[in-house]
Amino acid sequence: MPKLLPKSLPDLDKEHWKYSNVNAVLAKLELVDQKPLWEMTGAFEFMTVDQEDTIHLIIPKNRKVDKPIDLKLIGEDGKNLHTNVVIDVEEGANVKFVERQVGVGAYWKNISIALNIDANAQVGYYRLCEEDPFCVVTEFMTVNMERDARFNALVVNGCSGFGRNEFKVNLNGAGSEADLAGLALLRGKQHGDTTVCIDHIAPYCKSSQFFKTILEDQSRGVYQGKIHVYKDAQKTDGYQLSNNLLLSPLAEMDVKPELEIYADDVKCSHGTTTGELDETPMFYLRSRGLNEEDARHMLIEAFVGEVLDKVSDEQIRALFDDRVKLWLK
Amino acid sequence: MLKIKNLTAEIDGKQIINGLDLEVKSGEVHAIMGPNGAGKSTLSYVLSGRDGYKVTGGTAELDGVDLLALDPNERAAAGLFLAFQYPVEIPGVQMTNFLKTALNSIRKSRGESELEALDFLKMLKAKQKALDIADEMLKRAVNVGFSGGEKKRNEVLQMAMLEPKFCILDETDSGLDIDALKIVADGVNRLRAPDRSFLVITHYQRLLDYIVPDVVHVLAKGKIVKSGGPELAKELEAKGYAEIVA
Repeated sequence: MPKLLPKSLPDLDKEHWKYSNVNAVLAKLELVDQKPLWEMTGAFEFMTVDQEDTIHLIIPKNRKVDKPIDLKLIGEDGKNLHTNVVIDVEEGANVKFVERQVGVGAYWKNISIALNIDANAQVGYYRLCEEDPFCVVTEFMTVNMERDARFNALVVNGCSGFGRNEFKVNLNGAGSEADLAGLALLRGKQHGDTTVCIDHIAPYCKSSQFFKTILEDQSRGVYQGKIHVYKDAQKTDGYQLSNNLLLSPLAEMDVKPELEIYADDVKCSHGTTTGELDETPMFYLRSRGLNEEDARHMLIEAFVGEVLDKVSDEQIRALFDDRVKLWLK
Repeated sequence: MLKIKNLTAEIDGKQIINGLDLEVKSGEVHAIMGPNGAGKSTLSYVLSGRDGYKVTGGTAELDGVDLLALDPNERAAAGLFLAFQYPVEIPGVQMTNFLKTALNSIRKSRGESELEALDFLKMLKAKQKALDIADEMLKRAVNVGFSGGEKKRNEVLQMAMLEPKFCILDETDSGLDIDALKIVADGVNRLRAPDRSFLVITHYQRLLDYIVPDVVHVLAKGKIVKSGGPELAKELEAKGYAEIVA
């Protein structure tokens, strides 16, 4: 596993795009390297290798793991933490992961996850964070999906000072389906970047991206989403939607939805909205007796709820509800 | 009950309400009819306090309370209710939760205790039945995916739950067929009470066959130009507005 180095991180030159300059932020921190800090529950029987900076899990063929595997990645003040996670989910297996990002202080946590989902296997991946507002977190997840594989992901970001959360999904096998959703909750001077690229390589695959951001104060959100349909990926069904809510005149949201299509029999859609809370529903609620604060609250919770509804597991949903409530106060 | 004196109001600097006077006594139903652009919906938004509708003169009092000094939610707490011409869709807010929050907000601002979940559901159950509202509809998000008739019935349900003393119905009959209209009108008639008044804004005389008003007003160019009994509505239906408004 190659070491993750700052020189490969996105910056102004690499992306030809003004968004997330990770190197510039890291230059302001004085950090020393440290072994990754993590805790995991519910997974030791699946661990194969525990190298210095790699966590490797294999979920065996046709195995249904009942309880979600809980992976906690911990940040520590003044440290560079690079973690590699490799997960092989074998044919017909079914597993859910809850990844928690925690930490205190100014640190850089750089995580690379390779998730290989074999034929007919199903994976749910849920990420929550309770980071420090001074930290930098970069996370890159590659998902390789074989025939009829299923991948559902929900990420709630926005507690780090500077975060970039990247997904690269390769739909290699026919009939595979990836459903990605996320919520970025940003305030203060936080920067939250969500970058997604879904490669439709095989035919009859389906993908969905549903991402929302709420921005307060002087925060800045980024969403770059791409659906890339290869020449042979006929009957592709690709969906992409980004809705963003600006709650302060000083907040900034940058959105770049992209479609790149080389097949001729596909269905792809993308859409994006960025704006303030609508006056009309606000007035409707207030005319029914809700004061301004309660009405705002109700509309923001509704905005968030549409994303959280993607989680069918009640216990996992409750974790997200708590996290979001905490943010909303 | 409601006393409006010499009211003037504008939107984006354009005067729409031009010195309107209106008095509705306790228990009365008044209808306001008028051609397009007369200021009918503007009047309903001005009274309920929507942003962008600027009052430039005059007064509006509900049982002696100066409505114009209050926020929209304070007006609701004072007993004012507006049934919207176009009820607003709110994705992600479930009907039951919406009704409960609204009711408890109003109770709270009146200094009453919040309703327990069970008491609330009992109350809801009784009122929804009369309006032919299925349980399934209350599990959906507010007005999302509702038909035209369902939206209007939902407005009347909210009215029944919040028990206001003054109700404005803004073109509640628009877009309804005769069956849907009857259900809505029955719902409204059931709420008629000696201590509750209605202002029914409508484009069509038809509604007034089902909700029979005590007084009919004709609104034109932002003021009331003629008032009369229910027969005035029939006259308007037959002759049109041209004669009266000219």
